[in-house]
Amino acid sequence: MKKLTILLAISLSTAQINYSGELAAKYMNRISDKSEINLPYRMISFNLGYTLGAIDINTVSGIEYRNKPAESSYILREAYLAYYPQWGEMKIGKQIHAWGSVDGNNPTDNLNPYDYYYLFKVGEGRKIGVFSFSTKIYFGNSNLEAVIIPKYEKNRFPYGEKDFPLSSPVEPQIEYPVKNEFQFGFRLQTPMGESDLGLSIFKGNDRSPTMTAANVLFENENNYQLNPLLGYRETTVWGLDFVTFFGDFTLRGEGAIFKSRTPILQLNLLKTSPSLYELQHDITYSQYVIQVEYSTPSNILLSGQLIGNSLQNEAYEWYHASSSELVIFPPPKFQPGMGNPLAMFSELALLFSSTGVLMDDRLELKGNMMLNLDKKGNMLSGSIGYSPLINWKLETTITKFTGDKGDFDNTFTIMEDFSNLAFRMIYNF
Amino acid sequence: MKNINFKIQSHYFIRSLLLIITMIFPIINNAQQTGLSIIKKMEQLKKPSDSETIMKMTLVSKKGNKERSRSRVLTTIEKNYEDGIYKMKSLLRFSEPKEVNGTAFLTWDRIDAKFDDQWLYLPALKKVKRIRANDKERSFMGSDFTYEDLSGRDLKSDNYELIGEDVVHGSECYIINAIPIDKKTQYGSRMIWVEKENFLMKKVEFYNKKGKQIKILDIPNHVKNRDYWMATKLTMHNIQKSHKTVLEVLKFNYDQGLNDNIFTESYLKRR
Repeated sequence: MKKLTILLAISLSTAQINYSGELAAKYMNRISDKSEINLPYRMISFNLGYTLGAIDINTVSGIEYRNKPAESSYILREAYLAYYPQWGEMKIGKQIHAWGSVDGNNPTDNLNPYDYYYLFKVGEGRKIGVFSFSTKIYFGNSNLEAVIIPKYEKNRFPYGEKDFPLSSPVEPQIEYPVKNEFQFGFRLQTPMGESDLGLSIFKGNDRSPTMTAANVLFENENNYQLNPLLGYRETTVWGLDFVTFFGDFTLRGEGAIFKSRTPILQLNLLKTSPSLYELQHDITYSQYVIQVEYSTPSNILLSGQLIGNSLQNEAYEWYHASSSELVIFPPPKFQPGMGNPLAMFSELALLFSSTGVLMDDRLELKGNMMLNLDKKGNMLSGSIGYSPLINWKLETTITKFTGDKGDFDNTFTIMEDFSNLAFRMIYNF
Repeated sequence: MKNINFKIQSHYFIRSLLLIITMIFPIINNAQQTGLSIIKKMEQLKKPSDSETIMKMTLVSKKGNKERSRSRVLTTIEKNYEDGIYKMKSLLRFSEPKEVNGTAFLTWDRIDAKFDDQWLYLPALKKVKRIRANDKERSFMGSDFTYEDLSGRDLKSDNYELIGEDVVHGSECYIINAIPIDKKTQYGSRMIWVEKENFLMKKVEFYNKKGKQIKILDIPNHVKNRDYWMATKLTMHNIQKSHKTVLEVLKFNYDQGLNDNIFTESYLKRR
């Protein structure tokens, strides 16, 4: 006991506790009628870390807040234990991972579900932590990373949010929840001359639900109505990413092939409705991002991303749940259940962004543009951040969506009413 | 994403800052000095095998009689290698301002490579990015130091002429005029003040190619820490912009026997 007390005392005396965070107040209003856009935002983010030699304990938590009606909720985004031996790292707990080489919109980065309330945030801000075990092993200049996720987590969508145009009115019922929650992935990263190459595989479950079966109501042989029942496909993602340099330009690229299929359903035949038909959907789709970066002599960072996704192969069968008799129903609409969240906006899009910091870090200017190359539509965004005092910042952002007046299904048309002016006051500590 | 602009060539900063701030006490040679011999003595610095430095960088702008300043605090960790592959590995991490807390650079300086291997960690992306940039005339992080100022020049790249003596910051100094032989530089010449007694750099005046003075580097104070001399404060005055950058060493540790795994992507992400 005495030894343990001494050991504990030594541990505490050599340990380091660190903390940092952000306090933010935000107000958003529509450009069209100046009405408030009332969505939750992260009012407090708090990072707390404890370091003892090669061991870290880290937590990232916060308060999510909605202005009207004033309501708040505590969120634990990450909480994990990390160990850094000579050969690499090991982590266990609720974590946010990051794979791939491009800055956001990564098709190979599928370890975490997305929080669609934060769709327009870059990087980890729009991810949801998952309980996982991960390890990274270094050998020479290469490294191998393995991630095991024993517990499944789905994407968070804004349901019933009248202020978010892409929101569904109600959360759909999931008739076929994930049976096999175990997911895993590996990533090998190796240098090739002055370039880096990454190869990855991830085997898991879609985070967005898709049609898995349907209750079919027949009026007659040719006239019927399909009422979809939702579940999650099993998807394996093969990924490749690279970074290379041409003079002052940096080229990053990332591509992924998604092989996705409806899982074998385990139905209780006694409870099976005679009108139930199941879908066996096998899909192969691909997503890619090519990113070019250039930093001007005055340290303004310019970046462009070409984002593409396409369906490569699709096969489907409908069969009666009880009799297994094959039937002919129309093909289900393809929806990616994994990958780049911006794939819902366009099959082919171009993103430009620029960031400049002036006046000794006091003034920050940002500009973003997303051009839909597939259909008509674009998003323009500009932001000014001013820091009157160190660690304080006032930020104004204007975002404008333009769609196609004649195409009401166009995502950019739907988003037009979301064009907004946002104000944020931020304090970093 | 303010931190993204902090990237590029941070290793020059670490390497040269250590050259500037750590100088082993040289053997005093009373023989006739030439410009080259003085600079050689200044360059013959034994660096520590590894070091960890916490420093404050303050950017000061002047409008009329009013000065406004903004500071950053950063830690640099460096290890020299003698394995025939690397010269040095280094890590630079920002802790202030809080908005960029955790932004960090890792550099592997290879002996035979044209460019160093460099990685940038951005907490907002939670991702380590491989980066590279090669324009030495650019400002380092919006400061008055360019990457060229920080990386220094090869001894053979300039002609050194001893042009006089002067008293600077209370020290007797040689004045050396460095005229570039290798014209790949933003400067037409540099005037260097080297303390007579310990061969410590005390002041540098930078001139453009038209002969106009553009910047002045002041290094008023040095302290001796065991075998090493250390500059505790460096001020770069940008005459054209009425702006200056002050670098102050807050803490300095060396020869700690740092492990190699500090210079990996995993450590780069540690807070």
